[in-house]
Amino acid sequence: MKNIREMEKYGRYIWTIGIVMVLAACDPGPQDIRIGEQECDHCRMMISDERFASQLVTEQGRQYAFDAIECMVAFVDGGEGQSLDIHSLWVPDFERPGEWLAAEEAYYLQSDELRSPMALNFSAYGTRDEAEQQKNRFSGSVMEWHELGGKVREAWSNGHQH
Amino acid sequence: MMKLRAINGWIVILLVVVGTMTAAVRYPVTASVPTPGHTNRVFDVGEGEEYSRISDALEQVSDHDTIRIHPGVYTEHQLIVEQTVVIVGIDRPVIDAGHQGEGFRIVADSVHIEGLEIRNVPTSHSRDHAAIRFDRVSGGKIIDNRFDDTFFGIYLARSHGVEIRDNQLRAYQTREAVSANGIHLWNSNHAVIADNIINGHRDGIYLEYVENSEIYDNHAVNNIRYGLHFMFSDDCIYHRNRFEDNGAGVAVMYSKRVMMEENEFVQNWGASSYGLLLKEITDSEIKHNNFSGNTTGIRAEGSDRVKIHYNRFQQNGWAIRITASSMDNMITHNNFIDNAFDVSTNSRQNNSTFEANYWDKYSGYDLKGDGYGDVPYRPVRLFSLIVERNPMALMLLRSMFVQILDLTERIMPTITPETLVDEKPLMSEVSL
Repeated sequence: MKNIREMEKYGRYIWTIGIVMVLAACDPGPQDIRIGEQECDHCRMMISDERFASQLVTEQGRQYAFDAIECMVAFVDGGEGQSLDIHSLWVPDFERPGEWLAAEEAYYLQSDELRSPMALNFSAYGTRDEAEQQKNRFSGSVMEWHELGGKVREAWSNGHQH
Repeated sequence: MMKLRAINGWIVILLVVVGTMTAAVRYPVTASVPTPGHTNRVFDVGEGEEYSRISDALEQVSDHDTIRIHPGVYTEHQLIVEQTVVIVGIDRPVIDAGHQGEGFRIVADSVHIEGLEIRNVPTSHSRDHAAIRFDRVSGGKIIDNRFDDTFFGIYLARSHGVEIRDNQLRAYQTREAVSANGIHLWNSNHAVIADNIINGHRDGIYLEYVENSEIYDNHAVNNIRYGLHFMFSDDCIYHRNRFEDNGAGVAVMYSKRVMMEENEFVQNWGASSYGLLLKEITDSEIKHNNFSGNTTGIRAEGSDRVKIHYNRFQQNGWAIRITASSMDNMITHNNFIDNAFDVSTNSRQNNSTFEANYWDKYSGYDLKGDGYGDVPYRPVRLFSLIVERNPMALMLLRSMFVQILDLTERIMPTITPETLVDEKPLMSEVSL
């Protein structure tokens, strides 16, 4: 009797652990980027600035890392990323180093005063308010994820890239 | 006889007169007419001198004055220079920014700064603090200064024709924290960067939208990312520099017509490290350089019409890794000695020419006696293609199996790029 009760107890634990593992496997989140060691999967530059380092995670849980938001945009929008099963895209919260924002939900400031590694100078914020406040400090323009593709194409199609 | 001597005398006098006249015409700037009451004055700063603070002297100067800073430690920051002046240190006075803000900000043309030490410029998440910043000016010199624990050392923004020479920059930046570059140029042309030593920054020297500049005799060591880094910078030349123990040596990216000569790329080790990265580079030249002890000597991606000749590749993991997306490059007259892999690529396609190089692994012979091996040499080992696809395979490098594999492939190429062949391998080293 006692044994069975114990079995049930352990069983419950095992179930919980199992469910957590399955959920974790189903939901690949952002992973750490090794600053100063990993290289950008788009431009090959060594990733050295956590304020701009971004990442794509595939359904299989593989990470593609980028030194700048614009590199991830180019990778997804017409680059190698098109042939991947993309699970999620993550950008770094400029106001909270080390925290990730879902790229589609973030707000972006493009400002010459906050210079990014690939020179298109996008930084990411959790709310429109934060982005607007930052704009008041540094000038520039606030935009959303779907507007970035056009900006990158415009800047990189004539001459320097592709 | 006397008459002749007299004529000679007249000619001499005439020459002298003409000489002084042309000199006056050629150098109007040095012979500038001072504004009334401001006759190229000297302002002394220091203990017991006319001014005790540099900022006080800066408020009083006009164009063509000199500020002479006597020995001592000056706890000052955000020194704005608005006149064309010479700022010179005697026995290297120290300007300590005390982690409060930037050092000098120069907004006047042709400012000359010499003989100072600048310390403790704070790192910042959102401000690019520099020890010396030139902002939208033309001309100027930064000579023989020391920089200790500065965020950015020297920063040129939209400033043209500035000379940066004989400086030593030391920072203590780490991979984890926000880091900045030693000498940073943005939108600045016709710069000269020579004889500087840069240690412990993000990039030693960083160029973004820079044209027609010359970088030589610098030593970049122990920087987190690159010794020298080009972004969108055309028509530049760098030569006789030494790049050692940096995250990677030099990255030349998205630039055209870059000349790279007589540089040393040494000991750039690490999983994804290299001596020289070429990314989307066209019409450039790499000549008389030494690549030794790097994980990869040259790594080329999407680079076209680059001449790689008269270089030495010694004891690298890979001497050259070149992707098939690179077109019409000429790799000739190089020495490949003691590399684990000489050339590696990612496909059977090859659109570049390898010819008349010396390969120490070449085992052919020269019966014709013309100095070239009689059978072609294939520098790409089958095994290197396997490693390219599956890096873990590298642990089999010295195995018997792999050697047999390579030998078979050499006799009957089936997977390695058919056209990546040196038809005229040299029998002896190129003298460099």
